[in-house]
Amino acid sequence: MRRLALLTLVIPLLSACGGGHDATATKRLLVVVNAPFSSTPYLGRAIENGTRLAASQVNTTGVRVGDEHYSLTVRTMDTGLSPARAVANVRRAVSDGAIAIVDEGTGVDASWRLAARRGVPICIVFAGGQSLVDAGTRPDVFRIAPTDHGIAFRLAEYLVPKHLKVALLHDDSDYGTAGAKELRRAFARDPTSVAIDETLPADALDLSPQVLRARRAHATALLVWGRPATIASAITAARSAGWNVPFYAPPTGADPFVRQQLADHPTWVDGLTFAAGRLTAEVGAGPFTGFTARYVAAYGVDRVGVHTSGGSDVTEPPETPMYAYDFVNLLASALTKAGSTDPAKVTKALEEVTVEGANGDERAFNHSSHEGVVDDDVYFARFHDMTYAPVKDDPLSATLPTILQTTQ
Amino acid sequence: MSVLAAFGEAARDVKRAWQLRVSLVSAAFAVAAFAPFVFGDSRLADLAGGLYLAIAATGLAFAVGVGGLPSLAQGAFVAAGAVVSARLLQVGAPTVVAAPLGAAAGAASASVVALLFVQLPRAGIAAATWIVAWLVATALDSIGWFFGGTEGLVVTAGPSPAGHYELALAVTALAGVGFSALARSPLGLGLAAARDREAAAAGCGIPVRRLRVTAFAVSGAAAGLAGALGVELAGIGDPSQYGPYLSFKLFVVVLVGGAVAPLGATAGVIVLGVLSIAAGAIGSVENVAHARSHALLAAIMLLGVVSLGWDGLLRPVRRRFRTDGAPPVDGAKRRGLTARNLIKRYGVVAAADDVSLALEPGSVTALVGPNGSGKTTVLRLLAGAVRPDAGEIEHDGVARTLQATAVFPTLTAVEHLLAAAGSRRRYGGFARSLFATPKARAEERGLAARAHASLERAGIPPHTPASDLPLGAQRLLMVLTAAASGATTLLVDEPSAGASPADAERIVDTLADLRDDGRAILVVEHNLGVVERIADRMIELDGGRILETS
Repeated sequence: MRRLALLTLVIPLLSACGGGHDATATKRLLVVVNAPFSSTPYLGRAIENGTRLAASQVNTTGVRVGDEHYSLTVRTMDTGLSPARAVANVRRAVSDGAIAIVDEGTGVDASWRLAARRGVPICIVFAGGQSLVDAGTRPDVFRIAPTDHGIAFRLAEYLVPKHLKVALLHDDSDYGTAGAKELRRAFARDPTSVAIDETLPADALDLSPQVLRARRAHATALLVWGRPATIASAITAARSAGWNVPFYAPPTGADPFVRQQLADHPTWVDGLTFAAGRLTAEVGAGPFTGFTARYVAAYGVDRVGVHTSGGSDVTEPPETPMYAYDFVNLLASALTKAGSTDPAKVTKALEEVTVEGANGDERAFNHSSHEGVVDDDVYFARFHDMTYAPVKDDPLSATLPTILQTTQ
Repeated sequence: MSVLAAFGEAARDVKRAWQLRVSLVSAAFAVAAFAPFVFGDSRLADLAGGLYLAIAATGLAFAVGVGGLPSLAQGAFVAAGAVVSARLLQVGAPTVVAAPLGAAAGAASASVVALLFVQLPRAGIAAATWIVAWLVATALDSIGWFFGGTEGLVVTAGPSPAGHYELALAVTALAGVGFSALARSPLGLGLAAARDREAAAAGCGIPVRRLRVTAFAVSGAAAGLAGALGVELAGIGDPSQYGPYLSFKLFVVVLVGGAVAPLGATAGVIVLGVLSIAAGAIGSVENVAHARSHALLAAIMLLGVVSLGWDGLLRPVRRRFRTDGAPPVDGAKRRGLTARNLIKRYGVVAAADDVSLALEPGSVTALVGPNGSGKTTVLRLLAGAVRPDAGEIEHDGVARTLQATAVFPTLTAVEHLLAAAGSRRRYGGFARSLFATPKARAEERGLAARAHASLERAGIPPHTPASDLPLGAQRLLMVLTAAASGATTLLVDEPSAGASPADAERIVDTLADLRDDGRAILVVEHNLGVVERIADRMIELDGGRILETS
């Protein structure tokens, strides 16, 4: 009994001794990563890592807001690619006082209103749907990622002059459907270049019938807009039938999953050309290489899981992390500019600040555009031996260096 | 009766039925109503979502617990309500329009499913509804232009999370009250009887198929309402939320909480919620996604419920019926039954061969004959349980007891009689029962008084569960149950089989009372002593043919 009484006295005293106020302690601001960690873990981790890397760098000095310094705390929430869960996550993030949300893009059509009530900015770093971002009607939604519109128009701009008869194949996922809409608009300027417009079931294992229809329509190129699994299945269907038609794809063509699926037939990947946001800027590969080094130091290399013919492990450049990284740096700058942690003021300040992006490009938004990647920054790269390099027959891409994608 | 007087009477009824358990539940709801002063929007939205789940589960509990219908498509009915509501909200319809129409969509879709599958055995209903759940999920995935596809249907209007929470709390309480009201109504008692012994219930004139379709519709309406309000709360109609897992989860919730208690499903949702928080914490330690750990938890709970024979966290309160009403006056003119030239063959065997007979009101006819002579077949033909190959039957209401002792084991004696009387109640329809209107309550009191009187006359304690009664009393109870259906013709199959001499005596007295009441009675009986004492005339049957009438 005496021991119990003694403990009752001592514990609060010890707690009081350990709980003294630290004059140098910084206050914390919450940044939420809302991404599909359970359904597409690679994408979720990429967004999280980019966010955490930037936050850890910002926290070395802290974010100056007025006379105070703040550090950024990152919390992850899983959407499971479900819009309802994504919306519930945003509601929780706003309720928990998040200063910003780094979002993959699922459910933003509904979630932006919840965030807008408190002015909390949402930055999309993956989804490219045109309607997701509108500075006029959705003032709290930003994007640092190539848009579907930009990708589609650049693909049309690249392919139409080649006088190919393109089969536009898209899967029935939301990504595929949105892409198809943009492709139709982009290719409308020269409808004769389209051999066939075909919808593919997103979860089908065998796309031979659809690919065969494209062949019978005398297509001389296949442009497949869909999930990585759809692209891999379409390539398999064509190549296994002995059809050596050139393949074109949106950024999902570079997803490691495509190469993993085709690892038994590495030559089938050769020639696959995809469009994506450029990884390097006019200043050269230096900034992106530096960012990659910092990323690798923090999280290690992202191995694709395939090898080159020489036996080197193929790695994935941190493209998606780069966008999340850039947004957090913009956020830190906007906090300082706003001089306030009121999310609405920070959202407004995001339109007024500029930072140097991880690839050396300037990243900024303005009051009329909340797009952080301009359509002109879309480039093309072609696979060879499980790694890709910018193409030489496109003016922008021809100027870009090749990023190292193997372990030495 | 004035409106004020009606409310006063209703209040007195509530006061009489009030118990400590009701006080505790009311207090819990009252405390819960203050949650908006404690929690933020996010938590309130979670709580409101859980309560909407409880509403859908309460509807399912009515079908599963009261009706014995193992529906695994409740998630699909939630989806129906959600889609209809989302579409209406998108065109500017207010909640008061969208939510009822969502409920109607749930009820309509459930009715269609019931009409297709309710005649199947229970395993068949479970399998068929599970397939429906998958079909709906596939449709939601595939028809993106209507159901919103992977981006869902965005909904912008509606109350705040706090408003939704209060609404959800009120509707959950009302769902519990509605469950109680319907469970004691002719619908609930008839369903319970059919759940316990379908053939016996049908023999007593209970419209089993119609009641089961209604039970599905009620269940679907609750699901549709939950879906309609839930979609507004979420701000988005997300097809991925209405897959078979939702149906499975609702089923588990019902089994865990208790399928026959009004708030059993709500209790199940609370248990699932608490355990899912624990599962989430354990899952995060093991680096398992929350969605997967949640599904794992539900599956383990179902295994536990099934393997441990758990029958739910909450048990139903035994129903009591007031007996201070005036028994209804039965002024119908009785005509008895006439059958002409009935023929029924099973292959080359003639089970009924040109059978003609007339059962006069106020008479007892004994149908005798050796085993296999066709007595039971004739009884089934007269009751309408099988269709004759030829011949015709005229009657103005017939009920039948079964050869085997077949009480409804979960019902008390008085509930047996009320269940059978349900089909001829004037004020016992769905809406009147749900809202417990003054006329419905008065009629129930009258019927309960009459049931009490006839049970007491027969020496059967009214509030004893039928399964606890001795065999002879059970057989007598089924005779009284058949009579309570209001049928003018009673077909009684071996009423004294297995009964003691004293019980046989009571059965004879009861049959005599019913005859004196103007019923036409046909008795199949092997005990010739009973036949001699009760029968006004005797028909001898052999090889499906009437040999002699004396």
